[in-house]
Amino acid sequence: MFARLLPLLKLLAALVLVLLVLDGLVFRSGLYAPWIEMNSTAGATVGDLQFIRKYTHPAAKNILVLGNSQIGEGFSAPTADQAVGASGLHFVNGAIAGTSPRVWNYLLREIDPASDRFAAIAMMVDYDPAHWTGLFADYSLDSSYAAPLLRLSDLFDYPATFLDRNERERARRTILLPLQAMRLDILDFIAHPLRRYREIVHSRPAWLEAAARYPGRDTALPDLPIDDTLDMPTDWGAQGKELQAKLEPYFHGLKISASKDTLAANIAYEHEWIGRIAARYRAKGIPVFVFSVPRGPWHGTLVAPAQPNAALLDLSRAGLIRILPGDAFVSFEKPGFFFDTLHMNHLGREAFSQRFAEIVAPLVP
Amino acid sequence: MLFDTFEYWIFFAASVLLLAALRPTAGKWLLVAASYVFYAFWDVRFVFLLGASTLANWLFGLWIADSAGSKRKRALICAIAFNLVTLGFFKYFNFFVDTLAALLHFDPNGMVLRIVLPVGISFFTFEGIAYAVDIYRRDLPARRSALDFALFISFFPHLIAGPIIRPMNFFPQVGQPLRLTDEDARWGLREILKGLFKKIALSNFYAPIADAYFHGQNWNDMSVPAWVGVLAFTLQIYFDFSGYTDIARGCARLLGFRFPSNFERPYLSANIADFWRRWHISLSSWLRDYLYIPLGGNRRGEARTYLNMLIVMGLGGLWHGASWNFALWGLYHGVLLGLHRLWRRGVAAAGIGDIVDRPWLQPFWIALTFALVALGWVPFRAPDFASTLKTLHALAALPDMQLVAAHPAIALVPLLALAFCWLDRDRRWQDWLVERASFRAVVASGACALILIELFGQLDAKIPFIYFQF
Repeated sequence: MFARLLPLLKLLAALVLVLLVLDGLVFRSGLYAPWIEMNSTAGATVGDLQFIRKYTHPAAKNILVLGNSQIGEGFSAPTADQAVGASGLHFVNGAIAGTSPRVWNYLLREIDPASDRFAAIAMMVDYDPAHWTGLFADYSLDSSYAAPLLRLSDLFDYPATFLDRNERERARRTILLPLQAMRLDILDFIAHPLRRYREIVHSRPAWLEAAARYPGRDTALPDLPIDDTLDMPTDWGAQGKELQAKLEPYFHGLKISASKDTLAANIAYEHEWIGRIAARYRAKGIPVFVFSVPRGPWHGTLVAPAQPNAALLDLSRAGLIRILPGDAFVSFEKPGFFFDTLHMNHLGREAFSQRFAEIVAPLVP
Repeated sequence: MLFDTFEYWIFFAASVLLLAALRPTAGKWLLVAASYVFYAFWDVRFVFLLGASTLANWLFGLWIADSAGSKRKRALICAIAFNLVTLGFFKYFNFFVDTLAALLHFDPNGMVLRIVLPVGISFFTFEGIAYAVDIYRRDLPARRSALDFALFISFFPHLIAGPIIRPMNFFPQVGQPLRLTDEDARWGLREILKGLFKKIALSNFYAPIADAYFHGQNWNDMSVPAWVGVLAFTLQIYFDFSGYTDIARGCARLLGFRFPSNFERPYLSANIADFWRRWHISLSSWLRDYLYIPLGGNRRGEARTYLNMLIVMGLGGLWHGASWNFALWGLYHGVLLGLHRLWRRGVAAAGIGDIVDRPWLQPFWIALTFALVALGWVPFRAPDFASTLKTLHALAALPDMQLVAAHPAIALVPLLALAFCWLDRDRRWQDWLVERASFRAVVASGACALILIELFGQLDAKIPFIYFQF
């Protein structure tokens, strides 16, 4: 059989080999990753890797705090460090906007291959994802965020974690064809090489430092009178219609609940990915904490404190994770601590970071 | 299962490997089975239609071959009628009802059926007709083996969107054991990579631009969007269909079959007759051999020749789809062919052929032909007459300076394609790659092609090939 196809097989084998070598040299070796545009999704991951590497102190007990933009905006590592004084603990904010535990798993594999870099890992988790009507497992940007982190050995495992067929195919392509996954970035690089050079060589170091010193935003939402029966403000204050347009989706969102299937899928997703991360660190005796980040500006008034879902309880029972109490940060769920309906402002960031550090510090061995 | 998906290439690789492992007869069974599986991916219900059409055409072939005199003619008429009725029912039934309703002013809703168009029906019915006519003309003996005939009709590289294969080209290749030469491998891969680049990188780039214009957004008769939209579709349809054909021919070659050329750089034609010798060659030659010549061709006087051109091109237009827009497109080309014939007669009569055909005038004729062809794509792509008229009206105004703000690739790709065609004139590069290049050069070229596909390919676009709907 092979003799009949020999010329074709030879040619195909040579082509595959050349492409694998090229991909290996340019992408899988990590040669291209530092040149990815900073503000792209893949660039955010690369920036985060550089940030974590730069701000992890070898002499300290580093606690890596992972999350999405809620942690990016709402957690200040310097404030947390200050709160724990000279305990030897050092917090590192490893949040990437728009990510969830699947991406964090590959991020940790890359940044901490031996699982011994950190004294603890803390992850923000949605204790009760009932209000998420989308599927975490099919979040299409995950493959873009994870592109610089994925390896050929992930070819079967990673795509299989998507439920949607198209997302699985895209995930497979991201691993198999890194050039295709990065094509827009590369084309932009080819079109504007000098701009990219300046951005990476000059702007990125400054960006990393600015991110470390980021104080959070100053603006705050106004405290509005709430109608207890409608769970809606009775008076929208001075900003009137503009504020109403901005906030109404939030108040309506409090009443939305996901279908049973979606909720089950999202809980299964949390079990899968938090479980994977925790399993890696349990072998080294490193604690993995999960916590419910302040959920929104009026959650404290209108919604009961989040209770850990079945997946988290199961992982906790198995000794894989430690769950921080659901009501630990409810006191920060006030409009004065938020600049929009999802993210904390400077005040919230400071208050939350301090309280978070005080709770976590005694738990770190 | 589209040619630009992983599924297809896994399916294709499995087919090639299995075919190479089998003896010729078992290989034929495999190819027929694989083709039916391929077809079932589109709509499993139509597998029965394909099977029934194949069986009927095979039996018609035997009937024609075993008959003589008027019986032979009757058998041919039955074969043609069977194929036309099949095509007419699935493709044109609702169209005829709607047209009749509009003419006779009645409500068509009670008569219109929910008919799904089986993919590839226009192609396999035309192949069935060609088979019957060839046997009737004694150009071809009827195939006694139903398996061979089933392979001819269903062979998956050409099943969905052609090229329309002639039985006399196909059958001599059936039953040969698969043993690929170096040339086969290079030629097949070259065509596949070329086709993938045309489809994934170029056609998929132009498709959303053309769609944005033709999907009925209100452009207020602005000329720039119209020019860009029409140019985008002109390039999309070429890269899409010729890309499909390249992949089909490449796959066929790697399965041991040679398909005829379907496109010969048609946008470089210097006149409309030349265009039709280079565009969708398998259809235009089918129309010539099985419609134009039987109608009398150019043997029955001038007036009849022009009429035949209009009939053939009008029906050729309608073959593309059940819409008067397609008929209008076909008639437009019929008129252009007629005008070209008149022009050539005038030129010959005036004795200025040498001047008109001078090489330095060729770019002008090519540009003129391209513009006329591009104009013809308006009714082809526009959803109805109203949009066609609106677009033509917008095109009538010359584009203003906003045209320069259009994406640079709109103009860059045609210019690069033109430069490539000039550098690769007479296909010397492509032939060199297949016939004389070293193994390293072939691998390097293939790797470059793959890198270009990865870099410019829009794999997420999932835009079906245009000719799948015909």
